[in-house]
Amino acid sequence: MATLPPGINDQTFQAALNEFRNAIGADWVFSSDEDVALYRDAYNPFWGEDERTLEASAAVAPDTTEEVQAIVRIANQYQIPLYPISTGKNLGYGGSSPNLSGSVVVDLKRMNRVIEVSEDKNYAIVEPGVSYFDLYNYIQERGLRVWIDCPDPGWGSPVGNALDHGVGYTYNRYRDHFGSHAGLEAVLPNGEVMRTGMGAIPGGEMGNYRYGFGPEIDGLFVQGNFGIVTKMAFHLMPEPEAYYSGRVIVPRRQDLIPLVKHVNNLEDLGLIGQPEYGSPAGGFGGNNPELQELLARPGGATDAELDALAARRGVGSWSVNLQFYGPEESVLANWAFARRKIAEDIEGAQFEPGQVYRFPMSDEDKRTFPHRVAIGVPNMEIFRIVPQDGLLYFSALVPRSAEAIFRGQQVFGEIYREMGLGPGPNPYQGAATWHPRTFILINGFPLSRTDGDLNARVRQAFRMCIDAAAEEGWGEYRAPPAFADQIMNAYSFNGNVLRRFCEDLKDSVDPNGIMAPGRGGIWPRRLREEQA
Amino acid sequence: MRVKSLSIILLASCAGIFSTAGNAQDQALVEHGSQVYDKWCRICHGEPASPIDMVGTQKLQERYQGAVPAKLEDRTNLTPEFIETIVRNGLGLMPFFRKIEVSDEDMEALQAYLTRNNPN
Repeated sequence: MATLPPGINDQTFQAALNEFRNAIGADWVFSSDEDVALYRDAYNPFWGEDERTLEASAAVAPDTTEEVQAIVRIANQYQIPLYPISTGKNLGYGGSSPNLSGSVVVDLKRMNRVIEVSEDKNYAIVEPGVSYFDLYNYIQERGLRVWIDCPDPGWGSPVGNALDHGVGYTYNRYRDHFGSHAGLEAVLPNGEVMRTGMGAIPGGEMGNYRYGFGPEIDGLFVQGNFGIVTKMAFHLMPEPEAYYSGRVIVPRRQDLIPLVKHVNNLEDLGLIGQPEYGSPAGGFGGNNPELQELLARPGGATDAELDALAARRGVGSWSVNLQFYGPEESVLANWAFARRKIAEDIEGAQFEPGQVYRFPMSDEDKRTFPHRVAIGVPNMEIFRIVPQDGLLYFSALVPRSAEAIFRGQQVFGEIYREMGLGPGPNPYQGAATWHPRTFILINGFPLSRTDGDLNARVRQAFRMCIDAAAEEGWGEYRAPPAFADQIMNAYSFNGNVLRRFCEDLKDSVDPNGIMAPGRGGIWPRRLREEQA
Repeated sequence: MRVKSLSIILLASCAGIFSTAGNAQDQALVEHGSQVYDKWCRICHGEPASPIDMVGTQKLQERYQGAVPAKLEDRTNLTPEFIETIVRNGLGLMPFFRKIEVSDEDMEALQAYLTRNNPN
């Protein structure tokens, strides 16, 4: 027996399903328990407990924008909540699971057309079912000299990823995936189709200029519930002549403070791509026995002790890989500039040169390239670090400073230890720098398919991390549906005016509350009243 | 190279003359299954290009330590039921696949492909 939408009886639900079948074909409406179960979160934080928590009632798979419109109109008629997914691979952040049990998932995977790739103007227009692999292959098969910027798993959707503030690895203007979009098309909650940017002018070129005229409202479709995006344009990076990566190593733990400032400047000057921080001293989770002994002491280790240990082992405290793209002369000159600025300021800094890679590159060389996403080649390597049964990502946005990193190690480490989830972040855990304007302190909490107690503790720790982050003035940039309300409520300035303003908009444009209720922590009036 | 390719085509054609309609259908199903594998499985269960590549192949090598081939395509002991169970339920970090991704028809073809070399 399927989980029904709230307030909908089985007779009404069956009538709605029949309408969906008439609109898009019976083959594309999935309503058996067996089929609907495939829309649960594969990294389910409720494994071993009530695994049907946040379960869909059915799924519909339209092929065209017109079919999406038909689905939305039927949903309005029957008051059926919808939950759109692109490729449904947002693992660690909810997968294809809705925020409201009983929602009908609108599975956009069949809408997998690459509408256009412009090599002259460096943009692509795609439908939501297109994956990074699909777009990459389209470009390669045609020999186009443009790069995509992809996140770690290549089977995700450029549209879906951008709409969840997903990020990548090349230059800052490309790796903020929503920031690199250039206009979109969406089906609104009333079933109308709207285009933004220059696409709002008949005959205008989607992909040219995202702002158009008047208020820019594209952000309402990000982690929101104001429509179903059916096309999106993205700026693409022209294939550079060369790529170069050099490594900087600094000796002391506190050297991270000036190192971050220099790397921030290199980033903001547009000289580097994603800087990849690491720690030779704390590498591989701090598995060095001497380090573990120091950290296990009550009160932990002092910086002087950590620095002395690192010096005895002959390893630096921190490293950062700097990535350069462009003409060969430029990448080498920019590396020289970075070396000079850092060497002038940080005593004992060391510099490990890399090699120049030139493009176009053969497929064989791409296969063995050390970090393929850095050159826009999608792959699935990231799954090597995923624990046995999956994980939840807790991803806090913190200022771009070493001080914030140090504070985060302390704040979140205490929660790990209190909840018996291991040592948590050690003094050498750095920050993710996927987004060019913020650091992300990311912790992957392991899940188990059989140990419900572990999952319950993980959920509790996750909630404690949200609260602890808010105490520091930090929030999360994306999260699994189970935590969306708590996260949104942490953005509480002036009596949660941000959420309340979104709710006002929601009630205005989606009076029946059918569009992804709960997404982004925004609920329609009728469900807010039920929860109150 | 051209001569060799032509020879292969001729051999295949001769073999085709004596094949039954059933075998042709089986072959088409296996070919379809190979395409399903290319689209959905090979990205993790292909030939690793480096120690961090092809996590599915690497995990199976760790699990079985060479007792069975780490590459799924080289296995001869997979059953259709086992394949369907894993694809529809996932295993460990591997998620399950929706029918919009691997349809029932795709599943049948994938089963045919991954069991094509099983002993009778």
